[in-house]
Amino acid sequence: MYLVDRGAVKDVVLGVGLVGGALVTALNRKPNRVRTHSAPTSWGNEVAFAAELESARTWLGAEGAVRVFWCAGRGGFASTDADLAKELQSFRTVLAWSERLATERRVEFHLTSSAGGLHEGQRRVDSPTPAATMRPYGRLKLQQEQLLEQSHGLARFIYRPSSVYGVPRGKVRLGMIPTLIRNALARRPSTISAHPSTLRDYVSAQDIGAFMASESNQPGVHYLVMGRPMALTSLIATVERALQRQVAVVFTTTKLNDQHITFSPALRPVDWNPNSLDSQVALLVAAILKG
Amino acid sequence: MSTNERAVQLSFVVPVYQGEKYLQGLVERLEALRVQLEGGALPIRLLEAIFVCDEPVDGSAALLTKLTPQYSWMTVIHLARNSGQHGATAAGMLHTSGDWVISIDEDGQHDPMKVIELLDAALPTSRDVCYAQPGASVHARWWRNASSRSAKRFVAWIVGDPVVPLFNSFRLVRGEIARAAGALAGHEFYLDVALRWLTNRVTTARFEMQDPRDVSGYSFRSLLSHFRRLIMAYHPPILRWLPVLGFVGAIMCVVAGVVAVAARLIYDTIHVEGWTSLFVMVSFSTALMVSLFGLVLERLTGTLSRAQGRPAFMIVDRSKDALWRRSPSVEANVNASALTNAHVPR
Repeated sequence: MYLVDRGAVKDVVLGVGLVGGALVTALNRKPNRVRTHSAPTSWGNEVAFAAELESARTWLGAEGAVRVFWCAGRGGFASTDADLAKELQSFRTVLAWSERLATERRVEFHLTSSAGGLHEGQRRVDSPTPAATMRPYGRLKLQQEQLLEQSHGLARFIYRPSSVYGVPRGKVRLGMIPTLIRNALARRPSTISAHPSTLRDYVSAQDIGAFMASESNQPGVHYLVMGRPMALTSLIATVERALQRQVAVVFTTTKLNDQHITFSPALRPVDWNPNSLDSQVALLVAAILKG
Repeated sequence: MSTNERAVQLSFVVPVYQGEKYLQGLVERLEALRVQLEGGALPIRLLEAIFVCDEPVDGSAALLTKLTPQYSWMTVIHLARNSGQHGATAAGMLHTSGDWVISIDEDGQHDPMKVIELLDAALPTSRDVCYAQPGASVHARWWRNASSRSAKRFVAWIVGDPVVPLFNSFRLVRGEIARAAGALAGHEFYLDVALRWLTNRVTTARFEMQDPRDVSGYSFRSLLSHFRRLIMAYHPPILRWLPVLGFVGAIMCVVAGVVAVAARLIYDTIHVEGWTSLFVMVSFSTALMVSLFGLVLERLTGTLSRAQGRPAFMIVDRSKDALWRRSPSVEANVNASALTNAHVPR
């Protein structure tokens, strides 16, 4: 858990992984930062977790609006319902805590959901497209969104990023792009469980963090997508260009990950200007080389 | 957007350069096609149309910006500078998600409704590319048709690919192959050559096409440049014969040298001293140089292919083709009788 005090606005970031870490970086770049606090979070131990939230409440003081950012969760496409049960419970705890906080002051709740999880197997998703989940991870994200919609007293912000990539931090799962880069640097082949022509939409965690940190966002659902489908083969070619070397890939075809997930560019929020994959992958290569 | 993954999803790509006069009609035509496919029995849906503004010289970009909010299936992308028709089409292909990608010209000479005929030519035999072929002369002036045909045949002979005369900007391409070809775009890029690198499964569909323009969009100079690019994009097989040609020439020079020496020593028939030996040596050196030059060129061609990203193989999934073959509605509608142009506004 990471807390930022900027006087009139206080930010609470839950989950400092790929997106959360990028969000923290973006929040720390903003002006008027008075103080920050990094607190341990006892995921899975609800009693300790509730106590930690109460300590955070004390740290926040009584003045100013609070923005709660939910970026937590280790779940992914391969997670089972059992894996995700604890994550849902922690989410409920944070939501209830935020509702209590909202009885005293303005509280915004910012949920990082998943466009891929909600729209798996759908192409050119646009605004009237209803979510169609295909696995536990998608169902968890949908359930979290529904719980937030049913909450009281909170200003609700939902972010639905597509396939996120970025500089891996700590124990965060290594995404596909960093894995490709690291393996190529070590001259090891990478194994991808999908068809080479599988289409996805890739967005950088840095762009997501910068967008979420903005105070000019309006409540509602925000699709943080590129709106440009990309085949795995094109993605690999992009990594090869950035690395200036060949990337060896073994494709193990499985129906599980063969679903295309693409989005219409019309879904992009007006203020959302993501950087191109080429430039971001080049930065990622530089960051990984730097260690 | 379509959630109907049991249907064949279509993506149109339209490079735009000077189409202001025709774009409104084309967009209406695409909308009519979309509506008919949605309501029809054929397992096909129009997923999207990508309009690629290739630095247009008229008001096309502004018109498309005005039209886009009215049609959710429309996407407009803008290229930073003029990249030519092939570059623009490749850029559009990279933005598609469909099972099949159809490239059409902006000027109305390609009727989107004909996509059914293209699909019907490609899907039953699982082809990857289908070119539209004009039933009659597409241009109003006979000499334009004749010169176009002759030039294509000449290039086909030069590059050794009989498919060249079939090339047409109205093409249906399997989605993954279209996107892979688009990703190969680089200097001196020729889309159809990139497609030929990826697949041999090419077919055609013949129907009427008319060019509504009075004058061609191409000047003589741009046509020459177009054919030069086409030849350069291929690695003409003639290059492979250069080393052989040089080697044969060198052998002939050696034989000629032996004959000349024999003629001097035995028969003494050479009257101008030094000329024969000089001639033989110059010819021999030239032949040797041609041979070495050919070898260098062949190596260079291989390196260039790798630099251009020409893949050794391409994996495709043709399983959805069966959807078309098995559909009983296809049999009934195969002649696209449900998609006649009569009731569609132009």
